[in-house]
Amino acid sequence: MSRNVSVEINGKVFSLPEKTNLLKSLRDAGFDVPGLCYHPRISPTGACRLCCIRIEGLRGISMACTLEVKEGMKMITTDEELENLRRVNLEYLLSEHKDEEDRSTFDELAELARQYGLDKPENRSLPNICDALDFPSDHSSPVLTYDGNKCIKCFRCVKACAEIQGKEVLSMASRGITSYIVAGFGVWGDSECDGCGECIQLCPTAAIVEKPHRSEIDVYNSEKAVRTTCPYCGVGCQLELWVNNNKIVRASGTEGLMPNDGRLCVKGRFGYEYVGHPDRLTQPLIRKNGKLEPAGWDEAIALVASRFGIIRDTYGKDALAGYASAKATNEDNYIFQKFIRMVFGNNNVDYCTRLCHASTVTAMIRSIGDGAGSNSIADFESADCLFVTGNNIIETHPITATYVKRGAAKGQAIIVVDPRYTPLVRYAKVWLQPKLGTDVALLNGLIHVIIREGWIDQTFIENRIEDGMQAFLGLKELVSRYDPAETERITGVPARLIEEAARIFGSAKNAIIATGMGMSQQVTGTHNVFSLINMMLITGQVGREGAGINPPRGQNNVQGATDVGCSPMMYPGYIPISDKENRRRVAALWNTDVEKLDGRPGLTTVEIVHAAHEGNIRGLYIMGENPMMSDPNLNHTREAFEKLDFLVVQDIFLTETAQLADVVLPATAFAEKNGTTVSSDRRILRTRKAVLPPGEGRQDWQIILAIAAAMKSDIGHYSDEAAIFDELAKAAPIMGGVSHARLENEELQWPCPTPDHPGTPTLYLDRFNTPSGKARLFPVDHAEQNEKTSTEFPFLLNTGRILYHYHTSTMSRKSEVLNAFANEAFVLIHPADAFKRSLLSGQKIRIYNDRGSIEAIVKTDEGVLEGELFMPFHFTESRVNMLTRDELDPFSKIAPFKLSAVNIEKVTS
Amino acid sequence: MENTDEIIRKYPPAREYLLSMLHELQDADPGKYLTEASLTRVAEYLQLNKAVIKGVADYYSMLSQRPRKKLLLQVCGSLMCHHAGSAELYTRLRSRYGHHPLISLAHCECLGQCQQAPAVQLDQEAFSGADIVELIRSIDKKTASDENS
Amino acid sequence: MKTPDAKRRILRSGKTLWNLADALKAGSYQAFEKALGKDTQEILEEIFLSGLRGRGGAGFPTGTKTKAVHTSNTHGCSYVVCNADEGEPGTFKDRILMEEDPHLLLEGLLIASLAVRASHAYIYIRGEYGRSIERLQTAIDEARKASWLGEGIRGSSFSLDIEIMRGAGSYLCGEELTLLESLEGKRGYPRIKPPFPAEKGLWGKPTLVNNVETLANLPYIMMHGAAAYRSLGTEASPGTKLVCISGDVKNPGVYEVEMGTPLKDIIHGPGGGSREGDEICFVLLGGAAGTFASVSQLGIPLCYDALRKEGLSLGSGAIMVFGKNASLKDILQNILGFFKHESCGKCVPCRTGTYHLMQSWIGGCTNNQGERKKLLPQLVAEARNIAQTCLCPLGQSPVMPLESAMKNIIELMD
Ligand SMILES: Cc1cc2nc3c(=O)[nH]c(=O)nc-3n(C[C@H](O)[C@H](O)[C@H](O)COP(=O)(O)O)c2cc1C
Ligand code: SF4
Ligand code: SF4
Ligand code: SF4
Ligand code: FES
Ligand code: FES
Repeated sequence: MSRNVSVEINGKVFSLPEKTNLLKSLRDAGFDVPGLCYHPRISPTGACRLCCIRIEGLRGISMACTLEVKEGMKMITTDEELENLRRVNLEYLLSEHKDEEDRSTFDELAELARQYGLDKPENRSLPNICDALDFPSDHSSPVLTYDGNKCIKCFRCVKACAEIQGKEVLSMASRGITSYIVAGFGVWGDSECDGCGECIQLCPTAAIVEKPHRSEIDVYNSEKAVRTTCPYCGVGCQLELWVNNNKIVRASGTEGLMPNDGRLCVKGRFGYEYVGHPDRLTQPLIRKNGKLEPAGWDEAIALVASRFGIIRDTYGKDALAGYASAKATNEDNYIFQKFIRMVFGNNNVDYCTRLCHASTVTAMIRSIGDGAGSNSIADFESADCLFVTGNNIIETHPITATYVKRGAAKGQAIIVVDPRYTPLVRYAKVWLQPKLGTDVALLNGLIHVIIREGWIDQTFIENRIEDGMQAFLGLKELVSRYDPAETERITGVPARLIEEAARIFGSAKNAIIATGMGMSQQVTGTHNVFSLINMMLITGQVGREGAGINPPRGQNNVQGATDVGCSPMMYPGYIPISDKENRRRVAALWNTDVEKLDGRPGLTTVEIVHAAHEGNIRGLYIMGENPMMSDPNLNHTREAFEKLDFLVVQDIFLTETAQLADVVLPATAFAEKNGTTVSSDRRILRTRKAVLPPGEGRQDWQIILAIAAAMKSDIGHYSDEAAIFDELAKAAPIMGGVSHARLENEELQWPCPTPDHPGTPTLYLDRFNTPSGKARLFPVDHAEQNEKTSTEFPFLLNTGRILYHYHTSTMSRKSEVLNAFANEAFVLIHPADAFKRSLLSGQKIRIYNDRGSIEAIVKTDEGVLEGELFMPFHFTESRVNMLTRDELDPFSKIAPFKLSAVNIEKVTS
Repeated sequence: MENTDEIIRKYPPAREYLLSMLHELQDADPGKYLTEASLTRVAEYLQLNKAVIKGVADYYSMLSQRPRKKLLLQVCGSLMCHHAGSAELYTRLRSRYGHHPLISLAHCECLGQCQQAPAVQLDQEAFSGADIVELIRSIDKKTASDENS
Repeated sequence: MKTPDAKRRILRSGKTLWNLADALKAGSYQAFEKALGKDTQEILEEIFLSGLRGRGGAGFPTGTKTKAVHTSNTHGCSYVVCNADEGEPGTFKDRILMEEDPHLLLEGLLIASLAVRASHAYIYIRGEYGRSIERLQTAIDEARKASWLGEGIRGSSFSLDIEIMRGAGSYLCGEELTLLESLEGKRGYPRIKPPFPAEKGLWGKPTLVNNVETLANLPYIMMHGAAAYRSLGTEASPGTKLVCISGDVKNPGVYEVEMGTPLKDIIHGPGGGSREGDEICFVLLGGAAGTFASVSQLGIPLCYDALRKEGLSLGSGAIMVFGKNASLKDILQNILGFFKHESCGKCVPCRTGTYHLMQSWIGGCTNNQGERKKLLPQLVAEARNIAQTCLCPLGQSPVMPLESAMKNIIELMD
């Protein structure tokens, strides 16, 4: 933080923070200096000339927004001449501006006009020239409208897009008096704009306004604005929900708070429509005569309790399992795992984390001790090297990506490893494009060069790695055969690029690694991550501020759900269940007999499906998950679910999975909940209730407690979510010092063990969280993939996500805005392959293998390699997981979504 | 399109060559303007967004995003030329070439030929004062050969 | 129209020297070779002592600027940019220099680059200057072939590449910071000052921006030394100046005159005085962003300070002479139209103000002469407001012709 210095303002001495923006400091100190083009989140522009002040020693008039606070500055912020100049400039602005009241947005110009008595046209001395200038408008974007008549050319939108979001989609067009804002060539809807709406948030007038619910927003008369956490991805953006008549009408980013400091992506800003969607479940449903029929809560709970009870009594407790939810709060998930452990009496609790980062977490826990990102989101901007592997960060973690892009603008060297072009490549110094399934070889190749060139950190190796140099020599021995030529042979990545990437990473001062599903969702997922960690460890790029490894998490609470114990092997806070002492501690907290807590690891997600298929799991309780979209090999999953005696799905929509259920229980959406979630950078964030749930929807934790009670189990009594959290804090030492009360005004990242602990922005500063306190190297060899192409199935299919949709798109496809951007399944193919198969972009093709067959529109794209295909998994009409395998990574039990052999054919209709 | 790419690829993919590229693309275009297609190719090549390229093309008055005819005849309207009767010259040239199939007529700012005002520029070639006669001859020659071909 | 040879610093022989052989015969690159043998400090000191002031209009001491760039260049990366955007109406001296003696400019650039240890220089040139671009390009190619440019020039460790960058029609891009933005491939918006280019210029690196004529003075200074240079001109404005005489005179053109020469001696000397049957009524000095002088003010010597004292400006060296049939009304309208057209639009007062100024004057022009005389002070007041808060010097310009017209020649209003 900068020190305070004394300055003289209007004859009085004040103490202001040195080197901060003068206009901001003046305003913070209570001086009402006008100004429309300045915004604290962008660089100063100096366009409106309203913040004029007089500084002793500087000739003429100065603009406060273009200066910094300096010791001894003397200034006048207001006098007759200054006020007159402000009025003149305000009049100028008003003369090229059309007055029209628009209550959907705070109009800063109108406010100033009122202040200067210029709100009434008759008080103005200049003619209005708006009509003569005939400014253009643009209504083509799905999310916003632009009206040149209201635009004051302050550049805030241009800079919001370029500097805050790193996109530079907007520009001023024309010149001089006819200047106006354009996206694309003047048609917003055809531009590269991805709808994040940052420009809307920064526009000071009603020139750029959002489209959805515009007529329902009245900023001067709004019911309330509730600060909460975005329900979509794992960034955990803080936002405000504006509510009118129990309906969300706007979401805007909360400025000044991490992780997003006001930024949002298109999902966060416009994806809230699902909350009030008519398709929401409003009452329990019970399958009667093969059909799901509405029922009362009492009946539903009683039925669930009795059927689970019967299964337990008939087949034993191991015949029951539960899926927790990466989209529910910590409080809900904590209660859920407690339910499984105390009522089902086993550890069969897992959720979709198994499908995304289980391998990452497994490798990280074994090598360095914690299965979570070691850094804070801001480090993505400050690091001087960023190694992004298998992670389409711009689309899947849009706000983390803003930090990356800002870093890139300052000269950060980005290395992208991805078999497919991702938008980040544009910002990258090097793009390595390995063949699918060759990551270990590539990483070993990089390690080979790093060792050869002596870019290792010997002190780190000696002091912080188990067995120090000896362990290192083992790794050195293993990678010796991965010279660049050999690595090129295996991976297809040119040796030259391998050398270059190794140089950048090896010689970086501070490097951050971001690893994604491209690494983890493979049969070799754990090995991939081991290899990555090996590279990090020998270069010492962890264990200090600004360096480390981070797996950005897909859903808002994937991190939290494991943190609070939704794991077949771990209690809340990563406490292994297998240890009797641990069980004793948990039993005491839960007021139960230690013998009742099962010490055997439970089944993981895909294992649960296998067990169901084999008849070993008979009853399944799914909370807020949609495995019928997200699991691999869906036909197999369907068969498994159909074999179950009893399936309960608790959700907010009748998902693909709920449609198979025997009982469906209506729960609440994020905007109807209180609680917490954990972001990818271990930040514990509050979710707050903004609206009432529709119909008879109930809080997830209350439903679980009701079922427990009906099964005659007492798993606790809680007055509210804060009380649940208090128990969670006792169970999980990493959150021991956290409470809802503290979160009201503190930003906390776990571990935060005590109430006076400030939280931990960076992990492993002193020790790794392994028993020895040191990190471990796990040298791994490249292994050929089992799944290979054949003449029958000559293509390798890769799957993933796109910006506009989220996971199984149950939520995102309820949004007209998001659908306007993307509402159709597609598959990307290299132009050469398209040519060979006589396929044109836009044609429908069938993609099939032994496991299934789906249809989608084909798009040619030079960003995929020849012989490979890419398809997003969001679209229910083309469920790509029909084609994926359920063969598992032996260590983490993750499924290989990223690699399936398929064939394609044109659909003639 | 072929041609567009050839021109663009002559320059390194760096933003400082944007104006040079736009100049050259405009000159090479049969309509003597910057088409959306060529602006798009430039955007892709420089990895910039379309609006950024359009913003630049919009700003500079020598660049046009509307089709023009083969030859650009500009009459200086700045101080000295105006004083020396450029408005009348413009009127005369307009009556002669206003509907000419090969000539677009426009005003421009000072051409640095003020010592012989009024000044006129035919594409990149300046004519001034007494040269105007030369200009008309030169135009007639250029357009005649073109009309024949 | 002759400048005596002894008083030539820039227009070396009055002949065109645009191919290398001719230029070498006239002495090109000898000064640079001499500079190659000196250390940087000596070169900087020589330029500093010469008292040379920027010829682009602002008259800032060139030596001070060069030293500043040298000092800021702590990371071994700086640039030299030649401002050849010559857009000020009535100015055409840089064009003549580039067309007739391009090697002089290249030599100036070599010396400047040597002084600030730059290995890359740019000439940002008006897009309309087709012939200058052609000749400069030829000169660069020839010089490179003869190893006056490129890697390890003349066997030394000094390397320099010069690239020509074409502007595309914007007067404001002649303003140095805007020029740099344009050179980076952006819209021509001025940057906020400070930082000045000497600290943070092209791509944030220390950059020396100099006008063509300024650079063309360097070879003489290097060759003959600061003292010889100062033997012409005044104490505060040493050397010679290229003036561009246009309008109602017998011999319009570019002339090299000694600093301190009274205006009327220039107009009547090389300019040849008014044409047959005409008489000089008023003069516009420095172009559209310049000032009107009445006939009675023509005794003032041509140099930065004497003119400034009188509220007048030397600017780029444009001397626009108006005779009996000049219409001040039209001239003002033309000037206001020019600023309206060239305002970049970034800041409110200039963007909208130049438009309103123009509109009010057009409105006034439908009125009678008396009303116009009354309107002028109102415009001056408005232009003063604009000048007080606008962002860059362009917005500060309209007030100069308006105010000087009001003060010096309002009685000539038609
Ligand atoms: C609106 C405007 C236009 C300008 N145009 C030019 C120009 O065309 N050529 C030039 O050399 N300087 C021009 N200048 C001056 C430059 O900003 C700058 O002072 C000059 O390039 C510095 O070089 P010097 O020190 O050699 O004069 C202009 C300034 C302004 C404000
Ligand atoms: S659209 Fe809004 S933010 Fe953008 S320049 Fe206009 S007024 Fe400013
Ligand atoms: S980046 Fe993620 S958390 Fe942030 S607004 Fe977008 S979806 Fe929500
Ligand atoms: S003064 Fe005029 S030219 Fe300068 S920044 Fe402002 S609008 Fe642009
Ligand atoms: S706020 Fe300072 S110029 Fe606009
Ligand atoms: S005023 Fe027309 S060429 Fe200079």
